[in-house]
Amino acid sequence: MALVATTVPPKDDVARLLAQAHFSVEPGVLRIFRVVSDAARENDPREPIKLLEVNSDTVPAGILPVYFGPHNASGILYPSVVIEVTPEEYEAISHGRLTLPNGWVLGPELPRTAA
Amino acid sequence: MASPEDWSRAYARQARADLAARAVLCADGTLPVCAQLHFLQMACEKLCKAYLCRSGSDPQDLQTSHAYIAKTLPLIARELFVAEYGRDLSGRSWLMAHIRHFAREIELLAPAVDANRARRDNAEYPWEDASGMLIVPEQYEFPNLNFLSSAAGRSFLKLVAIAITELC
Repeated sequence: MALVATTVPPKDDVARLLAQAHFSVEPGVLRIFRVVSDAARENDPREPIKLLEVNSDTVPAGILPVYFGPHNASGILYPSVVIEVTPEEYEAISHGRLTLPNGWVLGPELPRTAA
Repeated sequence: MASPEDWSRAYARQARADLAARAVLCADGTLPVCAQLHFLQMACEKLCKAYLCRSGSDPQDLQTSHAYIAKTLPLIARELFVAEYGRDLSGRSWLMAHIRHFAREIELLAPAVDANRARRDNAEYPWEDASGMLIVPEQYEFPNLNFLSSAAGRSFLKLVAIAITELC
């Protein structure tokens, strides 16, 4: 009997997969950024992947994080939080006029990859 | 003290009740379309608030506004797509575009949401149109919401029902 090692993909990899799924279905998504807590929390698998999505098709309504559970069958093995903002709201965040909740800070951008 | 999950489930259950009431109103051809649209708007609003409660929003704060549908409902639909179809969602982009439009139109059914007075049409209170004519919701056809009988509209309504059920 062969032994099969199963590993859970790192949160960074799953975040990239989730971001590409969101790019693929919505042309209005212009940019996606990780949003991160402190390192200790981010190393906890229960801490959600947090994405800030700049979407030209959304409405300005401030920072509204929306929590979703994991989808194991789709390879999204971690819970996630999506914060969707307009390009103008993103500018306000990046200039400190609009702040993220829970001590979260803007992390690296997840660029759109070629299909 | 109720937990965020308790609040979320409570909002979802009330959304389910609103959606059930809408079904009854739709089945009665003598009633004006504004009646069922009002309950659809309330169901969508409570569904969005159910998700936001689960995400840490203060349930009391959420009760002060009706403007949560346009931003939140498309995200809920998209995550349902991920669960149903996996990560390759490119074939669903046409439906997502419709869902964003539907969500905004449904949000505008609340009288308090009027796009800076550009959209006075709503499902509850009379309003004056651009020519000063008084419009009663009971007499209004809501042409921007004809989509509900289209394929995309039916998919949208199904997604709303699934999302509500998942949280109940």
